[in-house]
Amino acid sequence: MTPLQKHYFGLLWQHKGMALLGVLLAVITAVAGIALLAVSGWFISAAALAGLTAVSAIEFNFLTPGAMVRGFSITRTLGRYGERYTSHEATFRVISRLRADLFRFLARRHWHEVQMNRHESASRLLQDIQHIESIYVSALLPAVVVLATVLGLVLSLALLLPQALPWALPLLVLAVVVMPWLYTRQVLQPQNQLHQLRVAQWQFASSLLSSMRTLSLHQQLEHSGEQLAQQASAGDQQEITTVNRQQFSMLLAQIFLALLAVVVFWQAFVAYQQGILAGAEVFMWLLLTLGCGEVLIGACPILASLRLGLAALLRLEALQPAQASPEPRQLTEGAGLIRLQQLSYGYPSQPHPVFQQVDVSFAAPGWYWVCGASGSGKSTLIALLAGQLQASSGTVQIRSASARPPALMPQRIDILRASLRDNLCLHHDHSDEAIMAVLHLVELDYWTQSLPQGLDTWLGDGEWQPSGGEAKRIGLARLLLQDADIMLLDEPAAGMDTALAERIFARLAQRWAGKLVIANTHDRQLMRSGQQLVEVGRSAFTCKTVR
Amino acid sequence: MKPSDSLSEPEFQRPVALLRYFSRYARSDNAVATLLGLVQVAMTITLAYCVASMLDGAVFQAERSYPQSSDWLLLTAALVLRIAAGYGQTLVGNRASLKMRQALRRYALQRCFALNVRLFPQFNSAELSNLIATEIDKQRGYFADYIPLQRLAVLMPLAILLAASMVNWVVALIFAFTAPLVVVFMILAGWKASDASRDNLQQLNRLGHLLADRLKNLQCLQLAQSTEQEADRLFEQSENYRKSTMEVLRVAFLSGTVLEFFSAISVALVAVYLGLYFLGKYDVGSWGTLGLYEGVFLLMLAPEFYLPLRRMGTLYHMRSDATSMAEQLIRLDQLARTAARADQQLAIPSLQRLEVDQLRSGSADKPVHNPVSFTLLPGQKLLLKGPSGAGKTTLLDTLAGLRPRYQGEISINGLTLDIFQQQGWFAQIGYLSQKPELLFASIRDNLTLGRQYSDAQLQAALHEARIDDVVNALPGGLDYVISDSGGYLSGGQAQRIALARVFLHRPRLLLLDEPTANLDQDTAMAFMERLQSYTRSGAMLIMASHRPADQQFFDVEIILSGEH
Repeated sequence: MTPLQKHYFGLLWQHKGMALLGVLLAVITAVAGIALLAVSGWFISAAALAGLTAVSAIEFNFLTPGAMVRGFSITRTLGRYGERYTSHEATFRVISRLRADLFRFLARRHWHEVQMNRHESASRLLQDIQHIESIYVSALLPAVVVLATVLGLVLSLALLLPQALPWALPLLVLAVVVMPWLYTRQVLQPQNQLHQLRVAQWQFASSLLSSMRTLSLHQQLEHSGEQLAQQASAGDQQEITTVNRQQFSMLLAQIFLALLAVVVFWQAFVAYQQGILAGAEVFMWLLLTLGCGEVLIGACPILASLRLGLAALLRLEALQPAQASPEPRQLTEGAGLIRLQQLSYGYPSQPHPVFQQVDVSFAAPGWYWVCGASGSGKSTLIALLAGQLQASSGTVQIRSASARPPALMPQRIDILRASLRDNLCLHHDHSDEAIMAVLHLVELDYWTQSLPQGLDTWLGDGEWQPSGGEAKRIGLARLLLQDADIMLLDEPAAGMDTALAERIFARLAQRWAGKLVIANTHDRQLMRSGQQLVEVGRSAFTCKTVR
Repeated sequence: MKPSDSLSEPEFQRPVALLRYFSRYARSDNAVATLLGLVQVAMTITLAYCVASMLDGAVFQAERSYPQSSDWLLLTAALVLRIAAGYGQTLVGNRASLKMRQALRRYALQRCFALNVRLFPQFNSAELSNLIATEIDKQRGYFADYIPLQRLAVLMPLAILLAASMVNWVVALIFAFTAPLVVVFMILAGWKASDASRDNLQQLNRLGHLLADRLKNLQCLQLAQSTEQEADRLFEQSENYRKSTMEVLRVAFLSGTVLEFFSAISVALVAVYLGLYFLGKYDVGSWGTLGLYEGVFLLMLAPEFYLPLRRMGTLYHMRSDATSMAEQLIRLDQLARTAARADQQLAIPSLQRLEVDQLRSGSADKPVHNPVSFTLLPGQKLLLKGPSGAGKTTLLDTLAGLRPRYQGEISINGLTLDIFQQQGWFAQIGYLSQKPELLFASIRDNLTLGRQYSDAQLQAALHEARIDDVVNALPGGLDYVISDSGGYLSGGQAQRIALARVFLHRPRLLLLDEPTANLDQDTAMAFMERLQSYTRSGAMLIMASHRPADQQFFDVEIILSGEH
C-alpha cells in the first residue's frame, strides 16, 4: 500500500464510529426490506388459506404479522435515510481532512527545479479527490451488505429448504463472485482510457480558448474546433463503450439472480409437494429470493469501485514528490555569516554548469550587491542561498542567531487573494502600528490610505490588483515584517521608478545596518558607498567596496 | 462571415426549450426506449399473473394443479425479457446521447468562434472549457436515462394501476392516492434542492478559487513559513463545502426516503388489507371474491408501481445539471446574436504605411479609451503606455481587426478601410500576448498553424528566436507535444516559441501585449533584443508595456487613459 493509501485508511479509522454506524444501518435496511417482502408474502398466503374455513379464520393471529409488516416498512425507510446520511458524512469528513493534508504535503516541498502543475493540482484537490468516496460508500459498505445478505440467504436455505442449496449456490457464486470480477476487468481499462481522453480534451479546449487571437488571425479556428469536436466524440464513444460493457455484466448478473429466484421457487414447490413445506411458505420463498436479488445486484460494481477509488488516490499521490526535499544548507547558530565552499551547480537541462567550485563568504554586518551579465547566475546564487536549489557539490553554510534561515524576497511577488493586512502578515501577528511603519518606509502608506478599505482592502485576482512596482514594495514590506538576520533579495527594484527605488534603498541601508543583506540588481544607482559589490563568475567571484 | 451565418437554431428563452430542441435529434431512439419500457411493464404484469396462477392452483384451489414446465418457461421468459428490455433501453439511450452531445458541442463552438476575442470578458476561458469539455460531456445520463424515463414514469405506473384495478379497486385507490402525493412532494423537494445546490456551487467555487490562488502563490507562504496555518484555513473552507454538500444530499436523501416510504407502506397496506379481507374482517373493494390468485397478483405489483418514480428520483440531479448547462448555452447564444459581423471581404493591400486618426475602441454606450492618432512606417516601433484597465489590450484587438472600432479612422497606404474581421488584414498581423498563445499540439503545428514550411525554415525561425537548442533537446524535437503536464518549457521558453512563430510568418505589423510581464529581468532583455532584430527587417511594431526598462527601445510613445 502506498503512503497516501495508508493515510486515507488511517483517516477513515479516525472516523470509525460514524463509518461503522453507516454499515450497520445499511445491513439493517437491507434485512428489513427483504423481510418485509417475505413476511407479506407469507401473511397473505396464510391468511387466504386460513380464510377458507370460518374456524381457522377466527383463530388466525393477524396482529403479530401485521405489526411486523408495518415495523419492517418503517425500519426500511428510516434505515435507508440514516444509512445514506451517516455514510456520506463519514466519507466527506475524511475527504475534507485529506484535502487539507495534501495541501500541507505539497507546501512542504520546494517547487523551484520541478514546476508544479498548478491547474492540475488545484483541480485534483478540488474534484478528483471526490472519487475516493467510492472506496467506502460504493465498495466497503456494500461489500458488508452483500456479504450479510448472502450469509442470511444461504443460512435460511440450509435450515429450511436444504434441497434448494445445490441449485442456488452455483448461481450465487456466478452473480456475486464471477460477475463482479468480469465487471472489473471490463470496466477498469476503458475507464482509465476515458479519464485520459477527457483530460486531454479539457486541456485542448482550454488551450484553444486561450489562443483565440492567434487562431483567428491565422484562420485556424474552424480547423481546431473540428479537431476538438472529433476528440470529444472519441471520448463520448469510449464512455458509451464502457457503460455498455458495465451494463452487459449487470445484465448477466441480473439473469443469474432471476434464475436463482426461479430455482428457489421451484424447489419450494417440490418441497411443498413432498409435504416438507407448508403451502403458505412457497410464495414467501419467491419474494425472499427476489428481495435478496435486488440487494445482491449491488455486488457487481464493488470491486471496480474499490479499484477506481484506489486509483484516484494514486493520482493524488503522483502530485507530490516521493520524499520531501532535505534541507540543502547547513544552518548553525552564531553571528550572521554565509560561506560557500567548493560550490558547483548546473541546471539539469543545460550542458554547462552555472558555478564550478566557487569559494566565497559574506559576513554580517554588510550589504552585498550581486552583479553580472545576463545569464551569469545572479538569481541562481540567490536560489542556492535561499535553499530552493540543491548544490551539485560543495556546501552552503549559514550562521545566524538561533539558526534561523534567511528571509527571501523573490523576483515574482505573489499577491494572495486576501486583504492587504493578510498579505503582509501571512498568518503571523503584527500590530497595525508596525504594519503602517513598514508601509511608510516603502512609501505605500498613502497608497494604503487611498484604498477603499485601507488595510482591509482585498488584493489579488479579481480584486484590487497592485501594479508591478507596488507589488515589489509589498514584497519589501513583508521582508521588513519578517525581520530575519539575513536578507536575500532577488531583483528587488525591477519595475520600480528609479528615484523612488533610491529613496527606499537608502532607508533600508539604515534600517538593516546590522544585518547581512545580499541582493542582486542591474541598477548600479542603488548602491551606496561602503556597500560591497560582488561580480559573479563561473568559478570565482570578485568582491569590491563601493566608493 | 461564415460562422455567424450558421447560427441557424432558433433563439431560446428558457433552458427547457433548448433541451427539448436538442432532444429531437434522437426522437426515434426515444420512441424505441419508450417501447422497451412498455415491454418491461408488460413483463412485470405477466410475471405477477404467472406466479399468482401457479400458487393459486397448487396451494389454494380445492383441486390441486401443480405447475407444468410450460408455466416455468413462461415465468423464466418473463423475468429474462424484463431484464433484457432494461439493457436495450441503456443501449438505445446511449446512442441517442451521442448525437445530442455532438449537436450541443457544435452549437457552443459555433458561437465561440463567431465571437472569438469578444467572448471576453463576459466569459473566461476556464468557464468555457468546462462548458465544452466537461459539462456537455456529463450529459450522457440526462439524454440516455432521464429523457426516456420522463415519459415512462407516467406510463409504467398507469399500466400497473390499470392492471390492479381489473382485480380490486381498493388497492388501485391506494396507488392512485399516493402517486400525486409523491409528485407534489418531489416538486417541493426540487425547489429546496435547487436553493441548496446553488449555495453548494458557491461554496465549491470559493474553495476552488482559494485552492487555485494558494497553490499559485504558494511561494510567499512557504517563505513566511506559514503553510501549516494556511492548510488549516483550507480545511475550514473544505469543511464549509462539506456541510453545504450534505445539505444538498439531505434533501436528495429525504425525497428518496419519501419514495421509499410510499413504496414500503403500500406493500404493507396491500398485505394487511388482503390478509384481513381473507380472514373475513370486512368485504369491500373487490369486483368478485378475492382468492390467493388475486392476492398474490396485487402484492407482486405493489412495489413495482413506485419503481419508475424511485428511479426518477435518483436521476433528478441530472435534470438540474442539464438545466444549468442550457442556461450557459443561452447566455453564449445571446452574446453571439448581438455581435457585429463583417459585411464582405475586402482586398487589403500589403501594409506600407499605417495611419490611425482619432481612433476609439468599444461602442457608443461603452467607449473604452481616449482617442488615439499616430502614423507608422516600416521599421518603426510604438510604445503604448497607460495604467491597467486603460484599454491597451482592447486597442490592440481593434488594430488587429478583432474588435469593431467605435470612432475614428484607420488608413492603410493612404486608403481608408474598415479592417474589422477582414481575412486579408488578419494575414498581415502578428500578435504576442502576456501569456504565450500555444496550442496543446506539437511544436511543429504550433509554428506552422496550417501553412506549409520546410523543417529548415522552422529551424531557422527557432534559431532566430534563440530557442532551437531547447526545442531540439526536447523528446521528439519539433514533434514534441506541448502540454500542461510536461513541465519542460518555462514561461520564457514558451514566449520564445511564440516569437519563433513571428520569425516564421513574418507579419507586416506586430502587436505585442506586455509580452515580457511574466519574464525575469535577464530573459526580458534578451527577448527585447530579438524583437529589435525583427523590426530591422522592415516590420512595424506596436507594444503595450508597463516595464520602464523597455522604454529606450521605441520611436513613438502613446499614453492611453481610461478617462473619456
